[in-house]
Amino acid sequence: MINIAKKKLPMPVMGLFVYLSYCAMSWYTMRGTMAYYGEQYGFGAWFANDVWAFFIGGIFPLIIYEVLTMFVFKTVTVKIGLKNDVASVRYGLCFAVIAANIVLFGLKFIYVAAPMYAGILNAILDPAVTFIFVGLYLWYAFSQNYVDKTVYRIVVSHVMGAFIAVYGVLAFISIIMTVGGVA
Amino acid sequence: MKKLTRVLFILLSVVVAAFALVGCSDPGAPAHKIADSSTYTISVESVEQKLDEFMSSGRFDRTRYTSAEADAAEYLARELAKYGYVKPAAPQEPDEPEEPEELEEPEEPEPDAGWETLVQPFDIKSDDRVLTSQNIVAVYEPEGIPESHKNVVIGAYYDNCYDAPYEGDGTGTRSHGALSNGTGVATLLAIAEHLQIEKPVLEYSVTIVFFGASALRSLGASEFYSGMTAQEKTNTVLMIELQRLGVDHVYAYCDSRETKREKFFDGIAKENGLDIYKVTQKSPAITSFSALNGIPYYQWAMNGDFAVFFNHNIPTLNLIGANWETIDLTDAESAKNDSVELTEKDTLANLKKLYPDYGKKMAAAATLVVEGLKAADFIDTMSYDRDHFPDTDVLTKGWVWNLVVLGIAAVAGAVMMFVTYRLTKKYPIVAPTPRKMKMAVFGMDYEDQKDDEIYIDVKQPDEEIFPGVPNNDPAVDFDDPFSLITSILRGGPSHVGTSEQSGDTAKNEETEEEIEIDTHEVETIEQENDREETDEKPTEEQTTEEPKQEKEAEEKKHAQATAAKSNIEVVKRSGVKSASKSGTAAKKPSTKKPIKSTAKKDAENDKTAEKEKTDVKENDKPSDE
Repeated sequence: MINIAKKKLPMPVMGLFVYLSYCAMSWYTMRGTMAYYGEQYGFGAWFANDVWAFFIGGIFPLIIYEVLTMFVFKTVTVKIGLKNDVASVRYGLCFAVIAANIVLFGLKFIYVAAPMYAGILNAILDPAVTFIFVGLYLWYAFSQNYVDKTVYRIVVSHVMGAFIAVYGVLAFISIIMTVGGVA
Repeated sequence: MKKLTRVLFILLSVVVAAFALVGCSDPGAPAHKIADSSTYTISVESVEQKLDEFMSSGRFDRTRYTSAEADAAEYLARELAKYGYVKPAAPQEPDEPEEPEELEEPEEPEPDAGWETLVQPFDIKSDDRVLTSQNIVAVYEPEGIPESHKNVVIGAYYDNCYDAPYEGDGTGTRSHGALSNGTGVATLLAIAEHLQIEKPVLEYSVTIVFFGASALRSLGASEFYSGMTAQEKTNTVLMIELQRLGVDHVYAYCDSRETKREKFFDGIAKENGLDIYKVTQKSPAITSFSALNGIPYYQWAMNGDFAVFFNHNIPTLNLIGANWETIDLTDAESAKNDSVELTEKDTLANLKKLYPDYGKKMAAAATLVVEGLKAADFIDTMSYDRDHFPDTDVLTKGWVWNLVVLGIAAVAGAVMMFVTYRLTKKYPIVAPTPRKMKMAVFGMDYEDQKDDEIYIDVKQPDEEIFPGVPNNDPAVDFDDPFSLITSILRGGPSHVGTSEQSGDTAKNEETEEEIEIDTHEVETIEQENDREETDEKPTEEQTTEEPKQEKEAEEKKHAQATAAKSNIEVVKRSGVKSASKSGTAAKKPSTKKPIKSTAKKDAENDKTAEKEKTDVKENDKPSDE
C-alpha cells in the first residue's frame, strides 16, 4: 500500500493543491452566485464569470479547512504529543480532502440532469462525501500506523468530530440559504 | 504508483466528462426552421410603431410614484380605450318624458373616452410616506362567453428607474427604458389591439395589465393579484409576462418542472416558425436562493412579475429577452453588446442601433401569445396545468432538509463513536495522557519543577544524560530505568531533568500532578532480583555449560524490570489512584514506543555486557586452572 504521508511535498504546495480542489468544488455554485451579485449590485456582467468564480470560490472553504485542521491537530498534539506523527496525519488528510473535492466537483453537475433537486442534493452531499473520504483516510492512516494505535482513538474522535461539527453546521447554513431565502 | 495513476485518470475523466456535459448540452435554440417575420400574425411594423409612439413625448421618464409614471399610465389607458376596451355605459331610461328642447347635434365621442375606468390606482406605504402608483387593466371578453369563465392574464411593467422617486432614494439611473420595458409594453399593446381587431372567439377572457411600480419590485403585480376576487383567482389559468424583448434571443420560461404548457408553446413556436428559445440548465443556477415557491434554485428566467402568480400556483409563461449562453453567464442581453438595462444607454436610438432585429423579436413573442390564445387546445392545456400544478413545496421546506443533514451527521457521529469504542477496547489506554505524567528518566533538560515532582524521560538517548543538571548522580546506571527509580527512592537525585517533549507538555500543563511510585512493588521486585542474584549465581561450570539458560534468565530479569516500570502509578492530587495492572499492555500512550525502544536497547546492552562478562570469565578460566 502506498504510504502517502511519506511522499512529502512542501506544505505550501499541498496547500495550493487543496485550494485548487476547493476552487473546483465550489465553482459551479459560485458561478451562479457571482453572476447574481454582479447583476444585483450593478456590476453588470463579470468578464469571464466562470474564471473568477473558480478562483474566488475556493477562498472561503480553504479558510474554513485551514482553521479547522489547525485547531484540531494542535489539540490532538497537545493531547497525545507525537508532533511528527500528528503532522503526518495532517499531511495525508490533504490528499483525502482533495479527492473528496474532486468527486464533489463532478457531483455538482447533478444540476444539469436534475435541477430541481440539485441544490438540496449538493447541500447534503457536500458534508456526506467529505465525511466518507475523511473517514476512509483515517482508516487508512490507522492501517499505516501513522500514529500509535493506542492513541488513535483520540485522533479519530477529534478529527472526525470536528469535521462532522463544522461541515454539518455549514450544511445547515447551505440548506437554509438554498430553500429558505427568496431572491 | 500504478494505482494512484489509475485513480487520477478516473477522476480526470469525471472532470472532463462534466465539462463536456455542460459544453455540449442543449443551448435551448429552436430546433425547427425559423419562418420569415413577414408571416408573423403580429407584424414587425406594428410593434415597432407601438414602441416609437410609447417612447415619444417625453415618456422616457416613467419614474415610479411620480406624475411622469401617471402620464405614461394615462397614455396606455387611452390607447386601450382607443382599441375598444372601454365598455359603453348602459343608456339610462328617462323617468318622465321632457319637452323636447332644441336639438343639438351630438358631439362625437372621443375615441379614448372612458379611459379613466381602466386605471386602478393603489397606494404603497414606505416609512412615513404614502406613494401612489397605478395599474392599467383592460379585459377582452368575447361575446357569448359564460358568466363563470376561465381567464388569462397578460402583463408587462411600464415604469422605469429614470429618476429617484423621492429624495434619498438612489435608484435613479437616467435609463429611458426603451428596452426595459418599452419593448414589453409595445408588444402587449400590439396584442391588445390585435384581439380587438380580430375579435377571436374564445371560451375565456383575456385580461391585459400594465403594471406600475414594478420595474424593481413587483408591487403593481402584487396589488393587482391581491385585488382579484377569489373566483377570479381560481379561474385564472395562465399568466404571461412580456419583458425586455428585442435583444439576442427571446426565451420562453414556463417552469423548471415538466409541464404541458411548455410543450404546447413549443408546438406553437414550431407551427409558426418562431425564433423562441428555451431555458436550459447551462444558464447559471444560483443555488443559494430560491425565487419561486416550491423551486429550490434560481435562474435568471425566474425574475419577474409573473412570480407573484406562480407563487400562488397559477401557471405562468415568462417571455424575456436575453442571452444566457455567454461566457459571463450572467443575466446578459447579448453575446456581443454590453447590457443596457437600467443604464443610461437604454434608449430607443441605442436599441435600434445595437439590435436592428428588435422588432422581429417582439413580433415573434406577440405571435406566440396570440396564436397560443387562439389554439383549440389552449384552455384544456392551461386548465390541466392549473389543476395539476406540481406540488414540490417540500423541496423548499428547510426544516425537512435540516433534519436530513442532522440524520447524516448523527450517523457519522455514531460511526465515529463506534470506531473509537472499538479502538479503545482493542487498544486500551488506562494511564492519563503523557502531558500529565511528567516522567523524566535518563536525563533531560532541567525545567522549573517542584520538589514533589519527578521527571522521568524514557525517550532520551543515553548520549546526553543530564546535560547541565547540577545534582547528577553518576552512580546511577542510566541504562536501567529500574535502578534509577531505586536510586530516587533511596534519596538519590530527585530531579533528573526533562525531555524536550515533557518540557513542552509541561509548559502547556496548568494542572500539575504528582507521581507516586508504588514502593512496595518496586522493592518487592528488587528484593526478588537480589535473591535471584544471590541464590542463582551461576558457577563457572554452569556458565560455561549453560550460557543459553543464563541469557534467558537475564532476559526474564529484564522483563521483570520492565514490568516494574509499568507498575508506576500516577496519582492525581485528589488522591484518587488510577489502577494499573501489572503485566498488561496498559502503558502511557506516548511512551509506548520509546519504552519499547529503550527496553530493546537495554536488552541489547545487557546482552553485550553479559557477553563481555562471559568472555572475561572464559579468559580467566585457564589461569584459575
